[in-house]
Amino acid sequence: MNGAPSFLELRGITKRFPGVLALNGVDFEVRAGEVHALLGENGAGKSTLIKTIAGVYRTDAGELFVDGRPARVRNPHDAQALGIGTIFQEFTLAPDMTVAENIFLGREPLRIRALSIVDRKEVVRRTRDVLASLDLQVDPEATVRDLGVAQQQMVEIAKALSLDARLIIMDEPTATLTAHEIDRLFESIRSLRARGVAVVYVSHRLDEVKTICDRATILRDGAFVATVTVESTSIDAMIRLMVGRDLKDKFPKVVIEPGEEVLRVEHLTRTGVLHDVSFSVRRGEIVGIAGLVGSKRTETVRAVFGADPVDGGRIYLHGKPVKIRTPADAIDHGIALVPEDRKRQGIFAVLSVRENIVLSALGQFSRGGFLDLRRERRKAQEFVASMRVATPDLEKRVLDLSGGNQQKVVIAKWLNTHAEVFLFDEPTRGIDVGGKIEVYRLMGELLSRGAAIVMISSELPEILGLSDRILVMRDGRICGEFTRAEATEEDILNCALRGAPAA
Amino acid sequence: MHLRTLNRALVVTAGIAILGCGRGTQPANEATPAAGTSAPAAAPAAEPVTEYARPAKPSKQYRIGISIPHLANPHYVGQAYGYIDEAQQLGAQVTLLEAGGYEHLDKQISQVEDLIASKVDAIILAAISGPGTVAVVEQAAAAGIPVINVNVMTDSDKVVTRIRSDDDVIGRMQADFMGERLKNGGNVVMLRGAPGTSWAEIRGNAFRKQLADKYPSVKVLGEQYSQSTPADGLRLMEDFLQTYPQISGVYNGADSTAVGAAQAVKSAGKAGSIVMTATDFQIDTEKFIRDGVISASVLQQPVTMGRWGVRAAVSYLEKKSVPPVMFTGLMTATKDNLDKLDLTTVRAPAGWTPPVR
Amino acid sequence: MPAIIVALAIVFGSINPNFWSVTNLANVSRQVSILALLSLGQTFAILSGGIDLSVGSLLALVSVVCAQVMREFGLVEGIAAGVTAGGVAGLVSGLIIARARVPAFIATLGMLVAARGAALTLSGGLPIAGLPREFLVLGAGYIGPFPIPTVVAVVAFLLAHVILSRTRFGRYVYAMGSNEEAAVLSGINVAKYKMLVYVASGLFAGVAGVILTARVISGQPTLGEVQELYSIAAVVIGGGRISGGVGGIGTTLMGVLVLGILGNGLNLVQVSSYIQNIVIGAIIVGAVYVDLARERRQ
Repeated sequence: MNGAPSFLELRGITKRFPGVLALNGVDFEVRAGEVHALLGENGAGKSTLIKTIAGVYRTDAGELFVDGRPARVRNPHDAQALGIGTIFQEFTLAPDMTVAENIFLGREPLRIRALSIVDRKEVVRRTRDVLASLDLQVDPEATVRDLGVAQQQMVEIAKALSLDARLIIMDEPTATLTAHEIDRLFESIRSLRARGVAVVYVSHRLDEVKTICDRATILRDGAFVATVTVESTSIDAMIRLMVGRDLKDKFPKVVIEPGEEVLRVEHLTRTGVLHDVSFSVRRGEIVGIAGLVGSKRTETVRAVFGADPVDGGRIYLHGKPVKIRTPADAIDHGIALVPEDRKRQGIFAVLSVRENIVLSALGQFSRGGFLDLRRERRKAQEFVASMRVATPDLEKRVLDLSGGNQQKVVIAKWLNTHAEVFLFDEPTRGIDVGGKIEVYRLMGELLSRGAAIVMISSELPEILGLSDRILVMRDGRICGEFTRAEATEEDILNCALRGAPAA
Repeated sequence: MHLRTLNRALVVTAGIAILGCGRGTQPANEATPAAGTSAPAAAPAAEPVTEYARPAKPSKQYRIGISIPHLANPHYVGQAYGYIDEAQQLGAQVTLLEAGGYEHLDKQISQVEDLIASKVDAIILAAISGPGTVAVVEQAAAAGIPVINVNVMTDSDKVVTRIRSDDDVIGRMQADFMGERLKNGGNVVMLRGAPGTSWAEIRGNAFRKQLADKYPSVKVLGEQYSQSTPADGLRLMEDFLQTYPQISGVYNGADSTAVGAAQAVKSAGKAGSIVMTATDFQIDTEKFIRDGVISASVLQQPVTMGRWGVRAAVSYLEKKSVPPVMFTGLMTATKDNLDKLDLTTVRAPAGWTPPVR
Repeated sequence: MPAIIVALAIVFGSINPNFWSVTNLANVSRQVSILALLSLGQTFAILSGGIDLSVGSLLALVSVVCAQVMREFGLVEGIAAGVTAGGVAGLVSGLIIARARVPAFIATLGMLVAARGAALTLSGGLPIAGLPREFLVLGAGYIGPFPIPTVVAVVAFLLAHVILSRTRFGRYVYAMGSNEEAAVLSGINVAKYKMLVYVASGLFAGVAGVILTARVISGQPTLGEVQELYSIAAVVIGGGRISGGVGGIGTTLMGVLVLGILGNGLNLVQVSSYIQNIVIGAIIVGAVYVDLARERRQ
């Protein structure tokens, strides 16, 4: 790839927001047909940079060249005209329209030009072509809402391609995909590369970067650090460049002698969803739950937490049966749930850090029926300090914090309730490397204080690195259980895919 | 004639009370006896006046605040013309406020309060609600501002004078017309107009009473109140036509409802076979009379009402005595005399618009 | 926002100095107190992520109930019945929203229509007169230089402020408005608190209805048309977000004052009520636009 011409080059890009210098003289160069990773911690400027390329932001300084010629991108339309397509984390598809309608949205081939009557057959035909070129088995007339997340993402890629994109930016494309779907995505990326389309790959998952990317550019604190060849750079080296320091422990595992059983779930059943799920967790232990998307892991912990109804089964805490019908019941019994989707289920975005932290335990902060703001502030300050939540003050809206810090606030909220059992659903999703480490450290602290943890994760390295025992689920059933010592990625995947460990 | 009117007014009031109890709802004007008996002076001064000349133009420019329910029909537009033109003749400055409809009682109260705060010299009030405007009238009186009721009355004795048509006569005139036409008996429905107003009450009750006294073979099948709009009239008449297949006559307390009711009757193909009477004379009413859908309308003289209101205010402020009750005149319009009517006291001149900025 | 209020006052005051007279200020505060009370209830509803479209009609229903009970039984009984009627209506709305999970917009829209119908049915469409003269004091009387309705509104404001900022109920209202799903998952009994929100809104409307009835010294089934929209406008103009979670008693107060001063000032300057409506409409959109623009810049 060394001789390939440069497709896109940015020089000296600077972008300011009120109070923040997001990009400081950044250089970035992407060659035709290469897969180029963009790495950096949260807040390093990756998101700002790609939004600049996509025309969402205007720069304060710097130049942009396409095919060696100077170009201006003032809005997304300009970017599109230059052949730059973007797939953001939040999809831009219209959920109630079909795949074909979405792909050709805004440029539908017309049958009768004067009356703007759309040539439906043509739309479907062209869509089929585009989908075929990506080897994508999706019905052009399917409604987007009915597609799985992975397929929706494929449709986004198809849409970009149909616009004759020569560069496609993918922002955290694998965040919601299972291993199987990630493989398919990588195949698509390889075929893009073969066609000479460049890909900018923004991700926290360094192992993926190692698999699929040719070069990587690292940003730190809004500045350009380096561009490296992926093949000759180790993950540790990449981390060091991103973080500026050595991170010894990727998965700081605290090994504790597990204590007595805290939570036991027996024969948990919900018609059509969960079938006879049983497991137990002891004090000081982490039980990881692995599985593909759709294996109903989230539904399992929600059932334990009382967020969903159950049709059968029993829950025991410290050996005694308990009735949990609502989250309030679960909280009373010392169970906490850190949900999968922070934005939609975990944080109160427009409320302050303090208000978020104290919310589930307001009883502690009431005096005579009235809330004691001073006590709230003190407690919130304690947590912010001990958990190292990066926020200028307690009254800042949680919306304005980074993903990792938002997650810490959510965890703090539960720590306030003196929970004994923590159910984590994808605890480090969308969090940068540094943030992940902090969350792992927090989990370790919880363990040493005697908590029991159940952790759902789709990142196999994370599950393997942290869990004491691993459960694998498929279609609402537990199909395998491994101890830390005996588990391998293959075993887990096999179980998840086929329902039994490899012979 | 006037004494008989007085008597009838007393009887009508008693009738209101009895009817009210019988229907299980509360009569609106229970607190107010007929206009004539609210004046504290001796009997001769209580006689309603039917002529009221313009006083001499005063040397001072008085500021008069006027509050009316709305300007959505020619009746009030005519009244407004009366106020404005007369004020010009008498060198007075006028502030005309309208509340946007009979539903907006609290708006009218706020407007009158604002007038009081602006320290106008006198207030002319066409009250949306008899009892509802009592407080604000007393507030004006306490601030030394005289209040003159025009067209719709307030239930308070602090009002300086009351100027309106003899609503009693309006009701009776419609009853007489209806009774003569339906000599062999008939079924009548009533669109009474805005609930809680003195005119809707008095006119409607007078109509019923006259029918009951003189034309017992004519029966009232049903009655409804509504806002004074053609849409309400249309809706009510359509419902009536569905409910009572044999309607021979329709009474209208106001003419906006008549316009809508006429439309309904015409659409049902019953124009000419139903006797419809109305009050007032907007353009569409005139048209329907010409077309024979509306049989007759009792015309008030809103322009005169407006003029007398301003005259009374100025006279009072010039420390002259003002008669406590004044009745402006009435005419009947039918197909036969349409072109012979003198409408200068009924409508504002064509093309005139009220200056509510 | 406070700057705008002062600016408006100065402008109107200079065009018509009567604006500053004690009588006029007393009038404004009295006229605005009804809207203020409705806006308080509306604040709770909107903050919690919902809305209460029925408050205007509740004024009518409360007025009719209050007047009829007062005629039969007496002054105090009438007032109590009126306020209770508001609370009961709010409870019904709350149940439909919290238990039957009907969206607040629809549920309170239904109540808007039903309550108006109930008011007209109970009263036969006619005003209910014959209320004791002492009742007028509640609507037209003074405590010192302050009109009684104003005093009631101020007390209600303070009460609402305390509840919203210092009690668990208030905190949960904000939480529900910010993220209802997260609220459920945080152990908040969302159904119960939603119901309480609408009961509160109904009670505020009840108090407002009783005062308004006192002001017109009669039960009027036609009261309150469109008032619910002004109460929403007050919340939004002040800076409350229509989707919930942002706003408070202070911001609502600003909105109420802006609307009150505008209405009164434009009257004194003799602008017709039609034009006033256009102005108010423009201000509602403008205020929200300014708010959103500030948000986007952040």
